[in-house]
Amino acid sequence: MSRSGPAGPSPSLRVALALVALTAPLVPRRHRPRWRDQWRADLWYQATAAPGAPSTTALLARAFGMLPHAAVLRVHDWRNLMLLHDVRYAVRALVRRPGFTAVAVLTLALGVGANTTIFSWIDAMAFDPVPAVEGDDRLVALQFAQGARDNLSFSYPNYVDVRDARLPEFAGVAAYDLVALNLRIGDEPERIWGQVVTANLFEVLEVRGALGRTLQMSDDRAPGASAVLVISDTLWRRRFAADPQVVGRTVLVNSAPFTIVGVAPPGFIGPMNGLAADVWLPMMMQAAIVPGDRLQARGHGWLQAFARLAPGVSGREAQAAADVVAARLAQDHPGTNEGRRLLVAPMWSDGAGSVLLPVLTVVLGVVALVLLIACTNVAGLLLARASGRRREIAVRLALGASRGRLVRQLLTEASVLAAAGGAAGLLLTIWTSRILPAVLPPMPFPVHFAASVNWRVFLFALGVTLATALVFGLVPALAASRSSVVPSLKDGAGAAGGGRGSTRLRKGLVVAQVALAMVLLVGAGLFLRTLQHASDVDPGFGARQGFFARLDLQAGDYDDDSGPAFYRDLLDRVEGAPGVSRAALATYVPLTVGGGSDTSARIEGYEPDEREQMTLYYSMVSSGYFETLGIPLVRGRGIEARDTAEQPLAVVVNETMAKRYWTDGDAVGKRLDYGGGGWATVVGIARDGKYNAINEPPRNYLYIPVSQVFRPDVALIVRTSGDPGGVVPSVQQTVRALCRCTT
Amino acid sequence: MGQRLSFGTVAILHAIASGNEFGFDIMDATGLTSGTVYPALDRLEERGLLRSRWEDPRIARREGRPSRRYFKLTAAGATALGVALERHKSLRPVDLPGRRRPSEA
Repeated sequence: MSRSGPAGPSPSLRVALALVALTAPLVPRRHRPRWRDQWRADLWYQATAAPGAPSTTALLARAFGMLPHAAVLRVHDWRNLMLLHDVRYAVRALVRRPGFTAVAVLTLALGVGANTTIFSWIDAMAFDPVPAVEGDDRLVALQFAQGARDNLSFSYPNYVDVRDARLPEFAGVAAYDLVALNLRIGDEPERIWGQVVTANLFEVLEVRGALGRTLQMSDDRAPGASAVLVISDTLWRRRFAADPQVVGRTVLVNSAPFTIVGVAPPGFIGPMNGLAADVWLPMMMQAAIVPGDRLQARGHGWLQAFARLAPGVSGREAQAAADVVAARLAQDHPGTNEGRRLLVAPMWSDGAGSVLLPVLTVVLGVVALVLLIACTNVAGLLLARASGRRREIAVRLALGASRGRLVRQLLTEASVLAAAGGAAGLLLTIWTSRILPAVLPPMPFPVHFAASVNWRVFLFALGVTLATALVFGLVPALAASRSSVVPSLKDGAGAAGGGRGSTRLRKGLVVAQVALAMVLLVGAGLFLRTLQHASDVDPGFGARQGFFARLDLQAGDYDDDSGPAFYRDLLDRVEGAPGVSRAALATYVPLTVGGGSDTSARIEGYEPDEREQMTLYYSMVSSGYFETLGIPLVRGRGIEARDTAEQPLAVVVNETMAKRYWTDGDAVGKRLDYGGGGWATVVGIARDGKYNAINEPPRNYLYIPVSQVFRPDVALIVRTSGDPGGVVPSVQQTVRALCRCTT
Repeated sequence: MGQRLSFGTVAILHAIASGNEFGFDIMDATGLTSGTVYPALDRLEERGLLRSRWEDPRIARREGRPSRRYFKLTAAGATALGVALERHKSLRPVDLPGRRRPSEA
């Protein structure tokens, strides 16, 4: 580097001086010459004459200080020039026309409010998937997948193997199942939702009890050993009046005594996205809570699992670890795990979010279009108003205001309008964010989303508001500033016309508005067509008049003998009630929310491929099921009253299954084994139907007599000859008179 | 005047009063970055605490470089610095772990 002046600038100085030239346009014009001269001189002096001249890096580091310097001058300039003055002027102009302002603000408030409301719901599902749990962004759902099927449950042995693999990527792995329970406190029974959980669940979630303790590893020592439970804050307040002495009290869960050991913190609903539980019971008490022993069968998936990622572990690393475990499971237990992948998924994919998020995303797209229509509406209003202000604008131009200055002024007015609309929309959202449960269709699940206006929702509203201001403000502002001075000043009447350009713009806005409205209209039309198609699709059952109600016999001490006898008695009486034409029981009613179950199966004489997973969807049904729902039998017979526990096991299969596993679909008289319970004979083939969704492809389906394999949780399906509404009370009375169950 | 001066501003005024008249000299004396020093110099001049003048262009031309901008304290700046230094006098030396008080050194 040259130390004497005339030798010319060094390369690093050249770079620094180039930066000065590049940055100069950012500096306000009135400061620019002084700014440029000062930086050039100081950099030059520093590079050539200053004692102890800095290195190239140090010189450039110093040179970069010119950017904040330029930014400070620019902001200062804006503050002086525009903001305060323009905002004050804009507010005055809007207040002078209260009618216009009210219409514009209301239009924007509805648009911004609708968008922010939908976003607040999406936010509650996706960004706060497990309420009242710190660091829930480090929680991931673990799900099995096989072929095209995903979100498959864990069996308990599979869970234990994943947990005990102790992968360093996972700080902890827990599992749970949501179950309907009969809770009896004193003499009052109540149907509530609870979760059977692994005892480490609270530890993995890092949740401490607000009162007493949570579950701990010792609660999972041995099956049936630890009859304890943790209750939710809601239940504690509702049923125990927030009694601080509640720990140690005994309650009956499905007739078994459990001791309350703690109360969960307020807002905690368990790990399942959007579905609230009121009690948490240890996994080892499973047999007292849900039928059967589910702790041994590796093929019986019924648990949802999740993990907390170890600090610093990314989703990709977690997936790689999950792949390793899945490979190990497939190697150790090929019968149940061959070909199964283990997927690391976001927490919202287990629970209500998995159903609602895709729907809400589409709705957000629709309300964004509505906001765009609102924007064009307001833009039209602004344009009309600008026509009325042509004289004012012309005067300002004549007095020397630049067009840029005018555009800035008009944009500020649009921003003030948008800010008022955005603020009103946000206020609206405070109320509307809580109405999600009210707009959902009735579901037999405890749907719960704690949507609120938090910082993310606030930022979203702010972004939408700013975008709105730009969309509806920019075009009218540019158009207004283009008006000609002389004609506007000479002719006051010109104020109403607005010139050819302005007219074209107004027409353009109308076209845009109609186009957007058309998009919405076509979208709505397509939705209607889809709905019409859906109602035209043959669901496979003919029943059109009737109702169903869920029964829960778990509180009634029914066993494998008394349960089926009770069902027979119940069906006899219900069918005798006036207005009832047929009645039946089933564990799963087609096309209702809740999904079916699947079971592993073996089919006599059928050799599955090496990679073929032999699992079948099924429903347990009573006699009269096919007649009640109007499902035609293609061959053989349906489930009948004679299919009792004493008789050989019988099943009915659907057409798809018959064709899939037996030559020519000749299944009647053939045998299969479901769930390892011994050979059952196929007694009939039912017509195919839709089971989970109206658009699903044909699938294998199995009907098992509930009179041979007792299940205490069934739905009573009633087909009526007339209006179902009139029959419901008498059926309700019959059920209440007969059983100690809850409906 | 009225407004209290920040530590950074006091440091800049102090550096100028100590004979550092150019932007980079002031940075070296205070340890502050150029992004802090230059805007502060503009602000202080606007408030009347500093006065700037450009170097005689003939000298600069002779040395083949642009004219530099010199900064000097105004009377108001000198008063403000005096008040600020008086206020900061209340910062008495304290015991710090592993260090001795300057007075005990």
